[in-house]
Amino acid sequence: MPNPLNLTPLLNTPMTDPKTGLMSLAWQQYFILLEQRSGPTLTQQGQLQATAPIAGRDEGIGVTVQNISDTGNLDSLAHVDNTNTDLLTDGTGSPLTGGKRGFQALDSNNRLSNSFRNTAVNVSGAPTSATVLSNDGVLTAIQVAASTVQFGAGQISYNSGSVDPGGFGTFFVYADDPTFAGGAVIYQFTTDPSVLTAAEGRIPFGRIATASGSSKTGGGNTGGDSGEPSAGGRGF
Amino acid sequence: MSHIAKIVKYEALSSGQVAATIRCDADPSTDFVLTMAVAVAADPTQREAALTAAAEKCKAQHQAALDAAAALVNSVGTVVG
Repeated sequence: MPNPLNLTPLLNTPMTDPKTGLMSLAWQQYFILLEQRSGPTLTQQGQLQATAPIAGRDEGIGVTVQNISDTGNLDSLAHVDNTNTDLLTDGTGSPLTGGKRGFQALDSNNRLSNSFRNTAVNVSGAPTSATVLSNDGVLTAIQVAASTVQFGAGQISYNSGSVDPGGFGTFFVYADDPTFAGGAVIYQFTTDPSVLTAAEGRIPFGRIATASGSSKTGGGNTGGDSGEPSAGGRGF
Repeated sequence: MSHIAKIVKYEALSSGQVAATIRCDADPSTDFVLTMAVAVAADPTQREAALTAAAEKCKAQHQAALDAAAALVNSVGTVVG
């Protein structure tokens, strides 16, 4: 908004009326306007008055700046109207990201909200099928049937697949599924049972002893021909 | 019904094994992962046999799933139990 106290047109106007010896009308009007505007906004010392209004707002400037320190800083987060933390940039140590993770993973008792939040290798589960693994005794490939594992927090279903060790023998089958995503997982085999617990996200699918010329089953909650169910324990 | 199974992904695993993901009719829900010992993957005869067997398994399961779905389609709306 332009300053209505435009002095320029007055510069060529005599301040005193030569006929009356009094201040000319134009200058009187100028000073009246000046007084009307400066009176409510300036103190005797030329400082802004706390009640000085801001154009377009109702409060005095003292209210507007009351929560701002003399160095121009906001004095407290309590005086932030929009407290949406999404507006903040995460700091050193990622406290915002960490807080969100904690909120999602922990319940009101500060315990993991469910066992799917734990690492898979530390969570007990039981296959719902009697057997999961099979071999026809002709090919060395071990078929892994589509299966479901019952965990405390729910059931996870896995696609079928196969592993081919290239020979017959006793093998453990596992897959890494650290997020309990289920679906198509990469099954792997090993002859070393300690491998079944060698990664945090590891899910065991049981043991099978294959032999040339003889079809065999394994895994599942019975262990099939191997007789070692993978429920509870890990099939060994 | 004929199906087409394709290898859509190959992966070398930290265990030293290699995995091939086979997909039937471009449907990701049919993904079937065959994991092979390196010796099997390196031998053309064994590799071909393993892949063929896995592909047949993948196609058979896809057909079984389609058959099951077709059987259920006609049951929608029926009272059970």
